[in-house]
Amino acid sequence: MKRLYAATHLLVCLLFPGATVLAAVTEETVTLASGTVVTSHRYADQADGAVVLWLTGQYGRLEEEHRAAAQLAKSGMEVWLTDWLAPYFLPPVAGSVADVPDADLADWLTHMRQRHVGRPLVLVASGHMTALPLRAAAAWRQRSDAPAGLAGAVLLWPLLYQDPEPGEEPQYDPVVARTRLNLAILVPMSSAGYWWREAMQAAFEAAGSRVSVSVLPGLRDRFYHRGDANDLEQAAGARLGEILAPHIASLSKETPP
Amino acid sequence: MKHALSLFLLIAGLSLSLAGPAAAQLKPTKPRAAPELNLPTLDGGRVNLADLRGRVVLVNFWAVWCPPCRKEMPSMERLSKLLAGRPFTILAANAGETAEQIRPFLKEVPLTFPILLDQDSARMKAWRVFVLPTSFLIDKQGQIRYSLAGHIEWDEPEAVAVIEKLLVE
Repeated sequence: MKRLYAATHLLVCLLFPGATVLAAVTEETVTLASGTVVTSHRYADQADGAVVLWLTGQYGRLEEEHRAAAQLAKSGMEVWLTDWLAPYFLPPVAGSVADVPDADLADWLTHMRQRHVGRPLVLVASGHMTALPLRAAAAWRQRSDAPAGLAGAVLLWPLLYQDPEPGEEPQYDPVVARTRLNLAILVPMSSAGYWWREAMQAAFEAAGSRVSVSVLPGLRDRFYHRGDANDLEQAAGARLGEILAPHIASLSKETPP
Repeated sequence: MKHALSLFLLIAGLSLSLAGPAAAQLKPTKPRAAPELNLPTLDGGRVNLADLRGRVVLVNFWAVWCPPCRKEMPSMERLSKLLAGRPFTILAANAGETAEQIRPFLKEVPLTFPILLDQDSARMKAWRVFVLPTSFLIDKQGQIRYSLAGHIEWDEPEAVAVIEKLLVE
């Protein structure tokens, strides 16, 4: 299996010359108290910087995310790219996010904290998957044995509405009101979310989070894995790691709110 | 075995993705007064929804960058032609783009109904639009009667029947 894995990465490297997939990548598993086995791709070179916990899975394996993880690893970060739908055999669709148990997410965070003592943990997710790091953090914070807090989370075009109805006030996922984190929200400018970014920031801040919002000019939601990506989006996708790095670095220096 | 199952889930997921979400459809809403909509148009004019009392109005919020918005536009143009001569108006309020960004699209898809310029998206926010495209059907008294988040083929019988119902009220 490892030989197949290595061959796959070699193929990806040949197909995507810009990719630095040969940055040390290993497959890591964590067995949770529930018995669930969570598998991550761990990208790490020197691995003395922030630990980036990237929760993904809605669109299956995205090479752009693996390439970005490799880019971040090259800059001294350690990235755990984790498909959170696969352990439960959930189909890779937005609706599956609700079926991931909060207790497992919190348990996994505990494992990550214990494994990386003294290093900042930064969560990353995009779109509908952004509910997962927030639920993980909220559930973890409620545990009496939760060790030191998280440095924060980077949310790419967060989709946290509950079935928005045209003409009605927005209802956010209840986890927004339970979140107290340092947050870096990245919003593509060509997105309906761009026009509601201040409302989302206010909702998070009302719950006690500290929020910075950055606009990504010329890009649309899912810019790095759109079938109709334009040249600008393809270029941005190729340097996704560079886009994320300063936000992760900034959060790593923050103290929890 | 694990990989066979993963492959199955990926195929299942892709099938769901390709099928798309449940088909969008016009939803009746509790009638309420339409918010203000008084905007400049792409051709240099100005349109005020309040001046269109006595007409059924389709208000559509859209953007060029939004593929489903572009997809439904030709059907809106066909609807406009289908109901020509009836008290029916389409207003397409563009969310936040400039005339220079919009015009190339209109060369590809010529439209005869007004394109409104909501350049700071203040109207989009006032109308509580969270996804694009979003549409509202306004009755002759200026009340919102139906809404839709997503795209449809506007000249298909189901949509036309809803509009016809409002036209005969």
